[in-house]
Amino acid sequence: MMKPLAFALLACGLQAAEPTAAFFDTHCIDCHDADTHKGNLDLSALKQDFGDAENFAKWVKIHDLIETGEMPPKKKARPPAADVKAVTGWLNTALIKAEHLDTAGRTGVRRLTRSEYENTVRDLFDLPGIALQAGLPADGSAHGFDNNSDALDISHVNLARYIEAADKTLDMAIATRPTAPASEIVRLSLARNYEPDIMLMQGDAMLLRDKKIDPVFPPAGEYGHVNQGAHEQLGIFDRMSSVGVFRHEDESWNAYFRHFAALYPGRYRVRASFYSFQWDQGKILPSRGTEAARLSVVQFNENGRGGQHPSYVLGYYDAPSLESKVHNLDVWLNFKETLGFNVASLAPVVLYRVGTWGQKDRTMGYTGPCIANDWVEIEGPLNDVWPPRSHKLLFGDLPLTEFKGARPPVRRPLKQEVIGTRNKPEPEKGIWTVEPAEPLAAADRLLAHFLPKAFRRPVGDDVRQQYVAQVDARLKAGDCFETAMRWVYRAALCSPDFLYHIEPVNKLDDQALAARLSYFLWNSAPDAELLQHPRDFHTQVERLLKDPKSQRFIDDFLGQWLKLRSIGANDPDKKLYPEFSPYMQDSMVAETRAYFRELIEKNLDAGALVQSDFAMLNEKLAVHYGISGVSGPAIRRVALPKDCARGGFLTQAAVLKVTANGTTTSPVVRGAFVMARLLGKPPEPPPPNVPAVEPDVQGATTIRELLDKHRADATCASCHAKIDPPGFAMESFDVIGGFRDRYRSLHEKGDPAPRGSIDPKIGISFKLGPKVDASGQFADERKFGGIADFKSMLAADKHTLLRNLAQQLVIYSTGRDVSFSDRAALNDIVARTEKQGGGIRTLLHEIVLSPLFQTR
Amino acid sequence: MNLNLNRPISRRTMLKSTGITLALPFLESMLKAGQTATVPRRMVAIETNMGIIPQFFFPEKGGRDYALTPYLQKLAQHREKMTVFSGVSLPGVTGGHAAEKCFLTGTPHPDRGGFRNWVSLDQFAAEHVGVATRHPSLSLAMVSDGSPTLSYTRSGAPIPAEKSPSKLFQKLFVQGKASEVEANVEALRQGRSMLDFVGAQSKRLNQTLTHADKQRMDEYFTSVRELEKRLHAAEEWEYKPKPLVKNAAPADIDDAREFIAKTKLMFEVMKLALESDSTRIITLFIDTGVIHNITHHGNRPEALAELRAKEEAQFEALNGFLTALDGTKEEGQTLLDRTQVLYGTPMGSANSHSNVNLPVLLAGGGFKHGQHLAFDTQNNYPLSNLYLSMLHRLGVETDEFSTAKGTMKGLELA
Repeated sequence: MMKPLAFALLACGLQAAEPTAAFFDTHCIDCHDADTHKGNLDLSALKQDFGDAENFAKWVKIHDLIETGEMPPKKKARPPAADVKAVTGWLNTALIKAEHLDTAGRTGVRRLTRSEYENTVRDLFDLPGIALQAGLPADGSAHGFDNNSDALDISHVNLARYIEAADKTLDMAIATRPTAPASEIVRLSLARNYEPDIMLMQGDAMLLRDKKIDPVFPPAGEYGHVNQGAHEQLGIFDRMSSVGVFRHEDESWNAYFRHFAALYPGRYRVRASFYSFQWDQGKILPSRGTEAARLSVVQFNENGRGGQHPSYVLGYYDAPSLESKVHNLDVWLNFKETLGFNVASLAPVVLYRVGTWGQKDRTMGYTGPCIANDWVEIEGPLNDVWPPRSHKLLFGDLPLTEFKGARPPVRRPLKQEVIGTRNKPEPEKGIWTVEPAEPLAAADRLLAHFLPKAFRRPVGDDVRQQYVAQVDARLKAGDCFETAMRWVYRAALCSPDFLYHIEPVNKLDDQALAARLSYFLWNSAPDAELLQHPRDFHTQVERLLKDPKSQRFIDDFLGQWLKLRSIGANDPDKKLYPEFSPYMQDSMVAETRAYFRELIEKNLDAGALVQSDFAMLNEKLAVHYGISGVSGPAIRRVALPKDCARGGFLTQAAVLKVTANGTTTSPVVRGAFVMARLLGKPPEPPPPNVPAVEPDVQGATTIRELLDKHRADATCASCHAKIDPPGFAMESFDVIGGFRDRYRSLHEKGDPAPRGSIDPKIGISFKLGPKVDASGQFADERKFGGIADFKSMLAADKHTLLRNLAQQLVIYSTGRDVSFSDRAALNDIVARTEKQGGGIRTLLHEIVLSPLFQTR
Repeated sequence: MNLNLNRPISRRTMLKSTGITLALPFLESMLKAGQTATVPRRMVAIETNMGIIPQFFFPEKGGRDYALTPYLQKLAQHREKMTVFSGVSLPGVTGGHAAEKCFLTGTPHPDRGGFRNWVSLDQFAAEHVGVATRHPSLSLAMVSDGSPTLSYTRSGAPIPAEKSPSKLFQKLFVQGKASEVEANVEALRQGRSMLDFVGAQSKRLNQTLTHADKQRMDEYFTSVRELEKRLHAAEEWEYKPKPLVKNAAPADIDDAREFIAKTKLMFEVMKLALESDSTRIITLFIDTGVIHNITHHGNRPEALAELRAKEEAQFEALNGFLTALDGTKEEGQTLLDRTQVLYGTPMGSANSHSNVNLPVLLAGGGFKHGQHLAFDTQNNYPLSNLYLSMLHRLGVETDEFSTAKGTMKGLELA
């Protein structure tokens, strides 16, 4: 009598079922039958229904576990190698065959992600700073990335927002004046900002001239200055003196240049001069080193009153000791934007309040570092051509003439309402627009230029005629030419030809290849050169990587693969981690991005993902990591001292932060992160009804002790023997990536904590708790003493690391998961890369050359 | 136009017809012939996203005689009009914060790859009852940063929530000028004709696609149609005057730390929205991100004390809202009797990010309240069953919603 499983297999008509059935009966059915369904698997009842995704996934898992030898478990007899090969071979063929029937391996048609949309519009219209992403609904995530068709639903809400975004784009793109707005240079002083007026009066800032105290305005001493009005009348604050600021921005105060608000969105050149010094109760001395001044772009709400204006950081700039350094930046400013300033590398201190909060005798009683801003200059808007390229994209070389007709073009003028700004708009005389003599012929010509560029592929005459017909209809309804063309341009930007990646089935054609390449490495549409030579793979990949736009790839990929997008998800506990600051957080992200860039630039191999003899650091991070000799906020390559625990992604603060919750670390979370994102072996989810662990922040019990059940209980250990070890090794690092051999605790019974590298002005109230035990053993029972040998052992498995990175990049660049049938091609990419040294830059080239990339 | 009163008018018919003014707060002609006018039922669903400290919320005893805990004490006057639940959670919804977006959808495993959310309770309800009001539903949020929402469409796309009470007030009550109305209508008409055009483009593209891709492109086409319908409905509503309210427009509070005051402000506008029948379905996502740190209290006494004070203030705000609804009369009942108010959190213990044993309560709406329904804390009862009961209370006839296996045990309609 045939056993039930064999009967079921034969009934499905598959050949060579008997040896496979015999294999299961001999080696598997004891634990995986109806009574003892270990791991919830009952092989006697398991059908073969490869069309069902869950069933298919189960069979893939069975294949993988038999192939790697993980099943049968170690304690059971080993099946003969020939049998294993027969079974996995049979399964392999059957699964691939089923997948092809299901066409599961193909990239589904998908729309642009939010960032792809924004970058595409920015590049197409030459509006490098237009802000569109935030107005679009968030994308989902599938297989780790948002550019997968499973992650990209569309609803009426998306469409409504696309319409708004298109309007915003066209408003900015269309020129409304015959000549460019005059470019002016505005020189701004912090002294005229509202807050430093108060701060200057009270003592959190002071006026300086030629690196000395400004003689007309002594620093605040036992009393603050009085009568601000009198000072203003005397013009004390209008003398373009330098302003030295002690106070770090906080929830009640930040500094911005409120006498300027950009009137015209566009390119601007910003120059800013900074220096730093040590202040000692009235004496100006050399500072402890180069400090970091932060510039940000601030957007005024409405009329500029009040605080909490949205802003984003431009960057961190050197403020050398007693030497003014001028920084030159090319910046895009949108309407009503200005610049903000912060003394980023200084510890938060408040001088002007009296009593325990502040500083006795204010500035004159204070000793500490200070950053001075001499001035900031904003020059612009800079237009090298007029009308701008955005306008030429839409209207070609049609001249702008004064409109005298009945229905003027529909425009939404921007209202300059920010109170107190000194730059005023130029009055616009008359209404200027394009009015071709033969509108329909002009429309046809303009659309013939625009549509293929926007749609990233040739557009048939019939389709273009449909657009022209709409222009005709609008003209007949009484619209002027500009308004009629706006109608079709808006429609084009909302049409699926623009919003979706349109790729032919199977082998990609030239346009689709070019688009895939540019969306991979530039997160945007291809440029003319790429469209001309899409199959010149090596040259083009090199060109795309060398272009600054490739930074978008690094940011977008790392943001998802290493979860950098969640860097701000938790604020570290202020008592436990008082040294944390936004400057530290920004530096962390910059480090990880720069490191990945360096791996690509130097074509380092996959071992460098985990271990390296260098790091990309600025002074803030170097001090945080206990590395000396690095000065200033710029990120640069630093050779690590021997025996340094740093090097590789796992010991970078950003990665350590996104795998913690701001208060406590969890070896399980970090371990699962390493397994899933570095090794490509995501752990199984926990069984239901397992209670969550309540961490003990009092510090009496370590997390390791709380997780003891993972070792003690065999069922738990089956997974946690794999998950926990990386997490234990990484216990040597706290939630902000600092190294620790003892946990920080708030328990009164803890030992006093040494200051270490924490800024002398920051108060420390945490204590030292239990010792950190970062030792452990891998699932294969190899032991490690701590992070250093853990990293060595992990880095030795370059093949696994490379294969996982290859898989992540393939998922990212093709917009689909790597299916079972794709594995052969993926393994081929890895093998070819390894033959050429295993470098990551080589990997990028090999991915592009692979059929996985070149077919849909 | 001939109205066949033996058949309820379908929504399509209502939309197609012109010149029917909707003066009544609810459409009597939508009813089945022979019935008396049914009661207009409303639903408000509120999530406070970072948990509610369990020991101050859950009563010990089940049944009618439970002792009020510190948080429930704040709602004492509404005891007879509310039901407290314990031992409930949404089956399969895990992942700590990932569960926040599943509070009204109940979709399992939001923390896994390839997750796609299901339609949320409010959108499902709005499909059926939303047509009766100018705004089929309102998705709101009290948040300082970001755009969280409780509302998801059928295809799992999030519907961004309105964060500003003043903008909401304007949307609901401020009349447009005649020239504005005309401009709006013209813009809506042009919007519809543009949608028509791009819809046709997608049909053209669809012909070149294969099967699975056709479905995806169909999603685009469906979105186009959905938006067109909404624009059409919006056009009709343009001609109707907005409700008159005596209240002045509120001023938004910008300081993120003032989240209690911000919540109260939003509650005020929500009450006006319900009272004026501007909508019958509201969701509110309360993001307490400003106190995220202390929700990870680690059982430190001072953090717990601080968090408790904040959460008590939240319950006071909720009490204010329930009291305001209960103080508004409608045909012999109160607005609270006709409005189900769901209040809860997707994390049972925010300290450990656990998603079981969720603190949840339901007030008003027309149920037999006044009790603590205590289910098994070791083996939770599905909260999605409550959602099915809520749909039934709204008059939505359906056997299925999300992971519900039936209606809520122990909760009867009044």
